[in-house]
Amino acid sequence: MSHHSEAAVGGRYKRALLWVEDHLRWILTLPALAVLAAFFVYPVGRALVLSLYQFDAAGQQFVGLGNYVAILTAGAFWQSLWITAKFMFFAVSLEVGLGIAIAFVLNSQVRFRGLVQTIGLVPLVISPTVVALLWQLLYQNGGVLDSLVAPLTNGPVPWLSDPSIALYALVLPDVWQMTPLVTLIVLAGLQSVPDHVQEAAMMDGAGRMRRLVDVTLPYIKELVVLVLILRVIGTMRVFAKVFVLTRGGPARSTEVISMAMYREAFSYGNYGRASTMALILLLIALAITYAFATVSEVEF
Amino acid sequence: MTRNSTTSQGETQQTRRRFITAAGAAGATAFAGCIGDSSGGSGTQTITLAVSSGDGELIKRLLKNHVESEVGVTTETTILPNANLFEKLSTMFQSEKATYDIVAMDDPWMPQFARHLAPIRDHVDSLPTDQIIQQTLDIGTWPTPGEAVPPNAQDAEPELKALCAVGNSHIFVVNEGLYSEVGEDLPKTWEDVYRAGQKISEQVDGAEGYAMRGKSGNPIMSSYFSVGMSMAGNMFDENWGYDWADESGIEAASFFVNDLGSISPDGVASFDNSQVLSGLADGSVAAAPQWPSGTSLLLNEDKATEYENITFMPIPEGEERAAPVQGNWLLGINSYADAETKSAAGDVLQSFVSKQAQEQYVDLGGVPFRHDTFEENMDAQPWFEALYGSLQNAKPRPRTPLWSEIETAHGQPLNAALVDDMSIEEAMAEAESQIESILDENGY
Repeated sequence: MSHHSEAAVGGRYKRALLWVEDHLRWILTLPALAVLAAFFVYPVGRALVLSLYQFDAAGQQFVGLGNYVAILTAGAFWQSLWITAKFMFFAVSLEVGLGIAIAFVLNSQVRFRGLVQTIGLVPLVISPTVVALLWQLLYQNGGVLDSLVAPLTNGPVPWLSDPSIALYALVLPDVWQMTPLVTLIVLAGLQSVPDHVQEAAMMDGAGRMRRLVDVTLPYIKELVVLVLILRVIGTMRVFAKVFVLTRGGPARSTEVISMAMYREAFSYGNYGRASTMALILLLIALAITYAFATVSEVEF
Repeated sequence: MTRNSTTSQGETQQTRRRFITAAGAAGATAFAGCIGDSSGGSGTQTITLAVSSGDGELIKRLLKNHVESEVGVTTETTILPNANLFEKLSTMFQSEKATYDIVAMDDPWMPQFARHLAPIRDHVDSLPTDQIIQQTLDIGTWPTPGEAVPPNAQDAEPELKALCAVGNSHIFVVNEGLYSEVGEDLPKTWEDVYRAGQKISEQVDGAEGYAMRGKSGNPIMSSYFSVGMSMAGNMFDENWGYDWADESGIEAASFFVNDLGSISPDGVASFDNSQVLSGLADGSVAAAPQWPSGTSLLLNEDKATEYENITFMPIPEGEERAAPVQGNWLLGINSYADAETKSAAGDVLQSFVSKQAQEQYVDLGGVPFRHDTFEENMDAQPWFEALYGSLQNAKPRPRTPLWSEIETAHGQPLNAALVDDMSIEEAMAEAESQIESILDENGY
């Protein structure tokens, strides 16, 4: 190769390297963007396309917004949404309330705090299906829970077979499993409250309640809103516990939206309708997240 | 800028360039490694199969132990959980791909997937149809002979599209000890079950006469189907008119919910198969229908305290007939595979259903479907005789791609009646209304 050719090649190589250097931050972001595209953008896009089709034994037919109209005018969809909302309300209230209370307790000088925190995390690392199977044993006729409430009842409680209590019976395993998550996040926030700010407030004569409201809560406000959003979205998606424990019964009293979606997709093979329900659920989740963030004046 | 900082900046640039060059080279190498060589080995044809977990393991072993050497092919079997298998097959058939050459399917999936399967007789030279139990041939035929045909298959000639791989049918499990305790013979009819069950529930502490899968949807319908079919006849007439809302249908539902429900454990409305099985195993339940797969636990002396008292029978009869639920797993050839592959797949299936292969299948613990296999191996399992009897009377679930929706539409009000949330009449009316709506929407 001539001297001029070598110089030309060397120059191109250098220019390429310089270009990479100048755009390095974008290039290094590409893997994360690829993951985001693969696990969010593509699935949502694919769901959107599927939602425009009806699937049946004959194949798939383009129906446009037909699936959306069918679902939004179906009483069963709103019934499932209402049941999901009830589950969400009770589960989130208990998880966030208990989680914050436990976090405050752990934030004070508690003996064996580390051990308690570690043990408290165990439910969080168990898969939801296993949690459901465990609670299925607890709910057994004459089982542990029946023994615990025996002084208050006239015999075994039909935890999962009475339509008036089955939904609340599903709330308990979710609270058991997810309260540690709330505790973990809120505790982290509490431990980040600077001591000198608390001390300054004390020196200014602020009592316990005033310090809680004016010092501590502002510090953990974003985290509380975050856990509320996480748990609201998490409870909207509840599936494994319902599938294992009740399958949406008895008498449809626990037919949450995810059970309905599962049936459409994997029992009836109607991926179009299932995708439509998933997208509607996504919009509801986004709306709730926006509402929380706006009302609480929190920026993420 | 000082000389030192200039030198330092230059060194930093050099280091960064080296890093970028090294990272680029590593990434390119990894990428090239991922592509690899996708061509298969030379020599034998490879047939790919997709099967369900559980029985799929036995199918895979039979293929490896016998079929491969007999046919001269290599098989690659992918075992998937039930729901994943359905999803995979749906996706594959929608895109008309041949990811799997032979596919296993639960028989209720047949109406949905039949049009994607190649006719068996085009690729299997000779079938021992005189030895294969007719019900298992019928269930693999589309449209199914003797059953109501969906509108979009009315003009089709029945063609054998899949062969039986697992000859499942419901059998009846009875605790002989509990029956003896109350002076009852083993039941032949559902009335016998109820009468004996009442005595057991009243007289034996800690035991109930019967247990059903009462959970909403598929579980309760799986339990109810035999009762409904044996007492009220077919669920649909040949024109898909729902036939279970009449007097006999309501009587059958009432028998199931009120009579059998009254001799079942508390909370039976939330029972699935695991609770029924554990009740049979520990003696708290005297009788229940079961699939053959449940027998392994019941005959395990470490897991079932009542294993010595467990006996197996054909499903009891009702006024109309005995109607055990037929639940075969079928193997079909993917019509989107090329001609050579389909031919080899046909050879695989022919070998699979042969007498020699089925003898080995029984030794592996498989559920057979040939007359000669049953007759010559009746002692292989204590439930073979019951299964053989049940299979020859077995009734398939209605042959329509809408079966899952219909099953849910029927199972939900039935479950509601079981928990006294609805009367029987209301439940059957609700089921009829929903089912007719589903059928109307789909042009039935």
